[in-house]
Parts: sequence; C-alpha cells; structure tokens
Amino acid sequence: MENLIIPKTKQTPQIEFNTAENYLRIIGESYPENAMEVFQPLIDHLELFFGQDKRDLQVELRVEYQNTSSSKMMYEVINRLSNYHEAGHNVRLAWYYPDGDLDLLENCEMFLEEVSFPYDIVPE
Amino acid sequence: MNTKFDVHAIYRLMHDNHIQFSYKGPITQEVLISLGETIKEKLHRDDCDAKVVRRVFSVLVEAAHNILKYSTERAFTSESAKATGIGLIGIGKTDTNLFLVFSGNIVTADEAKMVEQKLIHINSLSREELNKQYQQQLKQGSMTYEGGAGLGLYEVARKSDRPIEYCFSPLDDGSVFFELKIFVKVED
Repeated sequence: MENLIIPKTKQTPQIEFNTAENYLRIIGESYPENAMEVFQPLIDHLELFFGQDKRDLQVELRVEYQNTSSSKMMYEVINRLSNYHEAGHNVRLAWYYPDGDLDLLENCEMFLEEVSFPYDIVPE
Repeated sequence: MNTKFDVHAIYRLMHDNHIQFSYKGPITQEVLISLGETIKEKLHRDDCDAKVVRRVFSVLVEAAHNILKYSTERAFTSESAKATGIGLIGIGKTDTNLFLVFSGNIVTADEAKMVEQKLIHINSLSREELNKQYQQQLKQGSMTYEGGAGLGLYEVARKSDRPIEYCFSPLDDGSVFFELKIFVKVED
C-alpha cells in the first residue's frame, strides 16, 4: 500500500502517512476555507489502511493552530481512529502542544475525551 | 469616485482609534494569509504572548471566513473559480488593553436574523456552557458544502473577552450591513 504525503502549504499542515512503518504525522497550522479538501484524502487512505488485516498505527499531531473547519475534520479523523481501535486495530496517539498554552491543552482534551485508544498529551 | 474623497479623514479616524491595519475588498485566502502573517509578525515583535497571538489570529480567520462565505457582495478573483465575499476587516487596540478585531459586510435579511439569534444565544452562555455546546456541535454538526462547520462564532466567543459586540443596520435595498467587534485581552 502506498504512502500518503501531502506537503505543507502556508495554510495547511504537512500530512505524512507512512503505511510501511505504520505512522501518521500531521504537522503545522491548518486554516483553509474548506478543510474537507485537505483531510478527505487522509480519511480515504485510513479506510484502505484499516480495511485489510489487523493494523498498528502511531499517530503524532503537532497542530499549533486550526480553524473551525479544520477542527471539524480533525475530529472526524480522531473519531474514526477511535472506531478502528475499538474494532481490534491498535492505535496510539501523541499530541504535542507549545508548553503553557492552556487554550491548546483544553482543545486536545476536548478532542480526546471519549476516544478508545491510549494517548499522551505532551507539552514541548 | 468623488474627487472630494477625504483620505486624510480616513487616516485620522484609523489613527485616533489605534487601528493597526484594515482592509476592504474581496477576502480571498491569499489576502487572509498575508494579513495573518503581517499581524502575527507584528505581535511577536511587540513581545505579545504566543497564546494571545494565536487567539487574535483565530478570531481574525473566523471573521474573514464569514465574509468570504456569507457576504452578499461578491467578486471574482484570479485565485478561484468561485466568487469570494467582499467586506471590511481589521485589527486595533483599545485604551483598556484589549485587541479589537472588527469586520463589516453586507448580508441578506434572513442571514442577519439567523446570525443575530446565534449571537444573542452565544453571548448568554457561561464559559462552561459555551465549551459544552462547542463540543456538541463539533461532534454532531455536519459540514456544509462550503466547508462551514457551524462553529465559527462559538470559537470567536471562546477566544475573546465577551460579550461579542455586533450591529445590524438595514439598507435601502432590503439587505443588512453586519458589523462585528471582538475583543481579545492583551494579557491573559
């Protein structure tokens, strides 16, 4: 299965989904007008990835800023990951945020409140 | 254009009200990126706290996207096949140590009514209720074709020093001029 690499732009993050080494990284700010255009390819790729055998995936998020359109799509991604984990796959997630930014910490907690997979929220 | 158009008056108005910048025209994604980068750079240079910079930027982006999507005045640009909304947007600083993000654009009477209801509702919520309803909308709301998630004004309220100030002025042709004034604390 192919990797999915979506390069960073001024308004969208780098998305790096390495299907051979089982990791997904999303790094950078995200504030496009319509975040579906950025995140839908990732959602489709996740569906393919988890469609086959039992899978492991390590997710790493470093998203300092996201607009509400991106928040909605990020929530979709996280919700799907939670469902995949519940269905027997093995997902782990680490969310890095700038130390001291309580707004971002509050957001991370809100997004991860009900997920089934283990996660760490890491100040840096 | 009227030859008596008074540029100095606009300059004075902006100067006296500590407006750091303002833009009126088609709000495209490119315009937003360059306004955003300019203001982020300026606030960092002024030693503004990174969290506060992110709050101001967040409010600016949501206000700009509202204009881009909902302004009834529209223009075609080279950037996109779709027409984009025209409006006024800017940032200033008050005497009471608040950043002000403001926007103004024309909307339909129906849109004005809907937005006003939403603003009245959002301004009435406590901080906890606001977060709860934001979260609920995040989980249950659906995404529109244009990429709207129904979250913009909730996010603006979460990032700002409330209440959000607004004004709706009916125009002769039945549409409405909608203005928003959003305040963000300079220090948390």
